[in-house]
Amino acid sequence: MSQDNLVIGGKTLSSRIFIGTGLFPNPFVQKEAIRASGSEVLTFAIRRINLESTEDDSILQHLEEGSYTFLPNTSGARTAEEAVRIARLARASGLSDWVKVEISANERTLLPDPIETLKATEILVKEGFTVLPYTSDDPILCKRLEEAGAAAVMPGAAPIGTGLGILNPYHIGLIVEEAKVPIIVDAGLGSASDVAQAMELGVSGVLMNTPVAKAKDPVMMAHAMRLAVQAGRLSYLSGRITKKKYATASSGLEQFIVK
Amino acid sequence: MELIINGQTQVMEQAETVEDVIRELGLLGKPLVAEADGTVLTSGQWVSTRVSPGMRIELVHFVGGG
Repeated sequence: MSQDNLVIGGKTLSSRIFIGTGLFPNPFVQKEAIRASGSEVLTFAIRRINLESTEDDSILQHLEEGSYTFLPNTSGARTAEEAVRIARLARASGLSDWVKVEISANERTLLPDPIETLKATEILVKEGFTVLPYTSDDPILCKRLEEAGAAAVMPGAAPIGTGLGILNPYHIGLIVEEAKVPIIVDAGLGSASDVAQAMELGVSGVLMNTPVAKAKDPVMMAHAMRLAVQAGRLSYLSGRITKKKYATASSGLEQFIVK
Repeated sequence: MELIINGQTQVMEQAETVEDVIRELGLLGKPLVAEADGTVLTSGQWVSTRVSPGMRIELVHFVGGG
């Protein structure tokens, strides 16, 4: 496996892990965790500047200039219109024309609004953005987002920040089978085993924030996630055995010493 | 004149352009994006965008998020 790169929107990535930049205990740990994860794509949110506080809390000051691709999200948007506005603001920064469409209609679950997500994706693709919608794990919806021009489609494993892992592996598997664009599992992952499972289902990558940032040791967990992505990817590519109901002896059943 | 900046009314006596507003707030040079009355501005447009009484200005930036 000399070259197993991921290509999204014409950009070649050697890492299949996208890291969110929220919730880390401090900027130093965040920087080290990002490095340990090997991630080349970082997500952000867009918020109003707090005019009361003169302190510079922009996330960008804490990151080294480097080869990161910035993936701003539209979190806080409840409609396609709001998401499009946030995306335009993000692009005006001049840092990126990638956008993660994230439209939540329910404060308790933060689950994506599929109809508004599709609408926003259609509009932003027409405006020339590289659009990566965060969406429900519905195979038909994911196909519709692909047809609307999404550069990658990002179904959730479980609600944001829950760490519940992949609630519907059957759907994630179907989504991958049908897809012609990269599928990134986004949100709801909890640990390295969830990540390996996602990769074994054939997804092209994973996006996470909370399971790394809120781990007791975020840097070590970031490293674990990196290894899990690699292990899961290799396992997927190498082709696992089929599951069987009964045993198969590893050394055959002939020539036993004790008969 | 009174401007509505990030949802709050602020009095800016000297400011004539969006760039003046950003300077008066001490934010010039910081990574931010401005929007005036719903129109997103590139940083090159700050100096040519004149402010008028009641204008709604949004100043946003990137924060941590997933």
